Amino acid sequence: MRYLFSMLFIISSLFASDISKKVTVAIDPEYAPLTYKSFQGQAEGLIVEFWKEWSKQSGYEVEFKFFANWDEGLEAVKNGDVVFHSGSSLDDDWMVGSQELYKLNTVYYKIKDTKLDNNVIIGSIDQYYATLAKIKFPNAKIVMYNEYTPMLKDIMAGKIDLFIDDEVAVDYFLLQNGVKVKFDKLKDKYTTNVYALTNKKNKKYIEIFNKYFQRIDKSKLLSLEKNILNTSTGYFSTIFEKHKFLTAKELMWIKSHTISVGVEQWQPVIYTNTGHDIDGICGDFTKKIVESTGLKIDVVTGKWDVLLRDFKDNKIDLLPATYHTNERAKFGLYSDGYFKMKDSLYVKTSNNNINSLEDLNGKTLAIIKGYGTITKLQNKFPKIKLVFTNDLDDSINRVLNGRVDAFFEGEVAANTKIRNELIKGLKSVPVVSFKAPSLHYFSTMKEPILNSIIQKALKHISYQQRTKILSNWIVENKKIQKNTNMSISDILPIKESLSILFVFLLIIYILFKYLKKKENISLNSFIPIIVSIFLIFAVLITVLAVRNLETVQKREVESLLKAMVQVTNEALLEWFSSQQFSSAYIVNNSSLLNDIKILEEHRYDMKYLKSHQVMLDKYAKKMHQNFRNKRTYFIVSKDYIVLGSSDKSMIGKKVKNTYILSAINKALLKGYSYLMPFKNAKNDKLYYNQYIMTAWNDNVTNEPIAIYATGMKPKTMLDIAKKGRAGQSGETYFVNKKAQFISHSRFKNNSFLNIDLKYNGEYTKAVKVALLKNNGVDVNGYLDYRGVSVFGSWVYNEELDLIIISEIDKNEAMNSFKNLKITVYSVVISIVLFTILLMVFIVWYANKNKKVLEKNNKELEDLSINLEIKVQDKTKDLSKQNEFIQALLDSQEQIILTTDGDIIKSVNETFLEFFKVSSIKNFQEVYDAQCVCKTFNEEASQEYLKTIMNGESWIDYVISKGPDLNHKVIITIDDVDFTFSVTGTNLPGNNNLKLAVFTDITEMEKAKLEVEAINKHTKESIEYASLIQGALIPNNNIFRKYFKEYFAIWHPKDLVGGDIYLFEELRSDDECLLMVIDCTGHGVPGAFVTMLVKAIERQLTAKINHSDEDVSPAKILSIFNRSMKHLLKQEDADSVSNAGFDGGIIYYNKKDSIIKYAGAETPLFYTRDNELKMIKGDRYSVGYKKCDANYEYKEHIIEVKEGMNFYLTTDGYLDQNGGKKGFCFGKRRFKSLIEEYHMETMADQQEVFLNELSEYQDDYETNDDITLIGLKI
Amino acid sequence: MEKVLIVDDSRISRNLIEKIFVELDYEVVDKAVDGIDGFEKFKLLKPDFITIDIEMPKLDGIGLMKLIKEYDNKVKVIIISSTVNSQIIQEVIRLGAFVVKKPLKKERLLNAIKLLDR
Repeated sequence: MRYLFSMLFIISSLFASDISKKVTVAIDPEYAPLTYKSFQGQAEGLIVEFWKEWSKQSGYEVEFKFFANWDEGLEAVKNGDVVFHSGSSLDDDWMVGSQELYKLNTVYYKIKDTKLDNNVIIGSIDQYYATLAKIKFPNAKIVMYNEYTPMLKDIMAGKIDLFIDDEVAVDYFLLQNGVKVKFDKLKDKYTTNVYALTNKKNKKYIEIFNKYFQRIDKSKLLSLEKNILNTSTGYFSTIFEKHKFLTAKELMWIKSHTISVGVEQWQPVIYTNTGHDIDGICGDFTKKIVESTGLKIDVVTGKWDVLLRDFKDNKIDLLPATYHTNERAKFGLYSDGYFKMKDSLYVKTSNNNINSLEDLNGKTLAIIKGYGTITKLQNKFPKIKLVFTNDLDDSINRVLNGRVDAFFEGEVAANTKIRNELIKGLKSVPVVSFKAPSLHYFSTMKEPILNSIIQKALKHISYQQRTKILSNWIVENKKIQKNTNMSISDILPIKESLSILFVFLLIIYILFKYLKKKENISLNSFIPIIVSIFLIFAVLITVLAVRNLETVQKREVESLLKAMVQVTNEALLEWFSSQQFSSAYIVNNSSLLNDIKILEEHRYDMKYLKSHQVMLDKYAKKMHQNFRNKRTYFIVSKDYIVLGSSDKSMIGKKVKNTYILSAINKALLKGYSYLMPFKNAKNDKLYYNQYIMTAWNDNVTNEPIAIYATGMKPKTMLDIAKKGRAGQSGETYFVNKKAQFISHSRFKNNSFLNIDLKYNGEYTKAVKVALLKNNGVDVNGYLDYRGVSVFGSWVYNEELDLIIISEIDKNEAMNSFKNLKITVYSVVISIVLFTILLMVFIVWYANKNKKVLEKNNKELEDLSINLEIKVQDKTKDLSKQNEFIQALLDSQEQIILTTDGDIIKSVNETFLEFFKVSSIKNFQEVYDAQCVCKTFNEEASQEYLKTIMNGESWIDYVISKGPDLNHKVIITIDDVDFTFSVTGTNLPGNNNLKLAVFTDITEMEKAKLEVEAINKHTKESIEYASLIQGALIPNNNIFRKYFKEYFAIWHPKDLVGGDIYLFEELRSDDECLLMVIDCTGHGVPGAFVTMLVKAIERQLTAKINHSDEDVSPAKILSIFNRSMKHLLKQEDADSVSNAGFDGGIIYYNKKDSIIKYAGAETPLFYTRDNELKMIKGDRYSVGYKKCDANYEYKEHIIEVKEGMNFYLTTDGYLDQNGGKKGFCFGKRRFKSLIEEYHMETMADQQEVFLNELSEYQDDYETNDDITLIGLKI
Repeated sequence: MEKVLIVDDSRISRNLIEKIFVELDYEVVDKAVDGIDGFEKFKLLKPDFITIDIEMPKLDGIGLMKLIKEYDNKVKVIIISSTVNSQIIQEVIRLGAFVVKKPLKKERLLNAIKLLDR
């Protein structure tokens, strides 16, 4: 999964946008709170926050670069090493500054309520401020300082009266150093402005800075200022918030010191990876401390004894993993213990004689020199011969070589080494004689503040952080494998994959060989089999990978749960140890011992006992003052009589409760015991308190004489359990030997001692196993006390006689894996289905082709079998056919002959008839020629065949040019010319023999000549007609008189056409008439109709010019209609002629500023105020047979004004085919052209209309005549 | 490189003609917007080719062609017009010019140039 995300990250990084927009900004690390370097080495401060806002606004990435001091930062900007200085005043020519970033107040500080006289002494650490002071106090004496501290000391000692500086900087210093002295502030009128600045060469950057800085919301800047420089709650609260557990003094110390930390190679407790980076369990704790305090450390590596010596010699300040010894406590300061590590003995696997430290009496035990346990071992086991080794390797080697019997080492460290280095032949023997000792930070006595810092930082490490560290290292020593934590081989079963792949490839190979042998199978048809096998392979690998992923996920959960239980167990033990220690305070009191002895002797004397209770209560009370959580106590003799108790009713009575008795007995035997809270089975009474029982021993006999039981509320214990939660659904809880909750359930109320850890009458798996004192973990799932399937880990704590169980719901633990599994399976199933479908298709397609191939093969086979028979048959038939062919040739009207090019080989009857000969021989005699070409007219024009054509014989020429060329020849017989069309071909099977066919086209040629003559005449006539029609088209200059601009496109499809436009000036200079007419058809018929139209139009305009009537285009159309019908005799339905036209008539009266329009199946387009309008015109043509002679056309009147455009077109433009699909140009496209270009000149519009149509038409043939007129008022 | 003068009242048309001539490796020395402008520029620039639109304000294409031919009979004139009727063709041929119909295509113009170059 992690790899999947890494891949996604890498891919997304590849596609990430470029980060070319980047600027570098110089930062002064010591200019707090405006700019400074944080403990973590980051740029922080008010100005830095401003820059970050600017970065967000501008999209520029800002890279902060620290320089040793102010001047170096400015120098870097000057040299161009960085673009900007974060913030400075402007005081040099090379600088160019932004708008003001921040205004700094100049303030004089004086001790509160002191008075100033005329001759003040003023301190300053800056020449600039000194100058300001001189201006304000001309008589003052100025004392210059290098830093604040001596200046502050002097003002407090009264050596100076005032000091002057920047307010923010001084206040920050005072707060940082915990200066409690109160000052009065006198503000100077001078302020210092801070600007972002750059070199003048980079002036453009300032423009960019200003541009985006202006866009930052001013309230945002104010809010930043308030947050960082909040004067009401004390300055820089945010700065100190992060390290609030440290005092300002401690912070200052951290800032000014680098501590040397001694690290030995003691995996996984502490070690260095590269010689500099501290690692391991204690390494991680140290890193946490460094992170939270900002401590600067130098790592010094070496052997433990050397490190310890150097520490003693004050060469090293801190040893992070040190056991406590009294000897060491004399030369260093210990922190609290923060990590307990059990010690163990390690012996050869074959050695069964050593099962405890006691068994080593008289034998040799290796231990690394300098270990804190040495003294303890020497004291308790003086008979063991200790051998001091340099390191763990040395210890291990000595045991394996048989030079010592065992070595002593921390279990975690030794197990890690044995496991990682695959060391064989060693086994561990638990050391039960010593409690697991704690590791401590051991710091130099020279700097007690360091110990204080470490101690605070340790406490600052949260329970979760501690759990995380320990779970990383302790459980399975995960972190040792951390760098290869989840390798690809964890998820992808590479070995298995390769094995399966090998097997599959083998199967494919064998199958291929077998099938090829058997079926003669081709590789193509083998593809589906290969695909299927690979598909199965892919699915198998996926299943294995998913299974492995599940294992990895479970391993993670297992580690977490184990860590949870272990950490809780340790915390519990630690707490009880500390309580036990406090309890021992009483029993170690020698004066009380004597009193107890006497009480024990008078244990049956109730009166005596009661009389001494005050004394006992006094001791108990004293102890209670020292240690929290102890509410009750009782003292019991070894025969269970209560000698004293906080519950006075108990005094003198004998303890009968079996639980308590059992704990007392244990304490009498062992010296101490714990009594967990319990529920009395007899009376269901809840014993809520828990007790630590400590034995009083007789100082003479060393035998126990009584037990002191300190009662404790279980709250702390419950809190420890509460902290151990894995995930959302996890809980850690304690269970007593009766399988009852002795902590609170997260899920059930009133659980304490009230819930049995059973489900459906059965103990849960964790309880069942733990009650048998077996530790364990289950990541397969079992039902917990709620009946929910959980993963769990448990330990039995023998010392406290309780079980610790940590569980998490299986659903939550495996949720991410489940989702991944579903996704992976969905994808795989989809791919498989798709591939199967694809394969089915391929097989189907291949089969289809195969069938066709098989069919073809069969046919070929049949053909080859039959071929021979057919050849024989054919040969027989051939002679018959020859005869038949000759007969056939003879029957033809064409002259047919065969020749080798020179000599005639055979001829048909027609040949003999034409040349009037009886045989070829006869032809040769009569014409004195071997070749027919001798009869060709060699004088004929170029288009006719001659004997030799382009260097070839006539027949070769005919054959080579092919039938596409019409070869003609003139043969003259008896002075008469005959024209033949000649074709020729090579006869198959005979390379030399050619067949020539002469078709007599003499008559056809004559007819053709006649037609050509007619055509020429017709063409000339039409060309002349086009001249005539051209004369009908008006001289366009005439438009200019009436319209501001115009254009006219008139493109007949042929020489003449059915489209015509007519323009007439009428009776006054203000009136004109434009007609655009599309007559029936195009070409000559259309042109004829246009002539008729022109004739009628002439009559009409003559009539208009001689009348005073209003001109009406509608009436003109009606007259056209009637006249056409009449002239062409189309009034009758039986008439053969059916001609007419569509068209539009515009009448323009310039004086009245009106246009009248009437249209027959022709729209008028016009624009007014940039809006396109259209008058559709009547859907009624003019003159056709079907048209009603009395039809009245509608007239439209438009008031015109300057700038209006009018467009009138025939359907030729609109109906022209073109475009990708061959559709008509159409009205929509036409209208959009008008809309887009109507503001252009008419000349330009004409070009647009022509070019747009031309482009649209492309290679399509022109459909019809095209006429388009454009007019601008 | 032969010099060309373009006379046309349509900006679109002028640009289109210029583009084609440039593609054919001719130097377009100037463009005129009407007959009068065209004649003045013709006299000044003495181009090898002149293209003339028929429909133009002030002085139309036929009028300009006549003036030019009177001034210099050797200049090669191409009439480019959307309205080409037989009368125009006759006039054009009489004056030894060549007419190309709009919409203008590169092939048509090239053909006209070739014919006039003969």
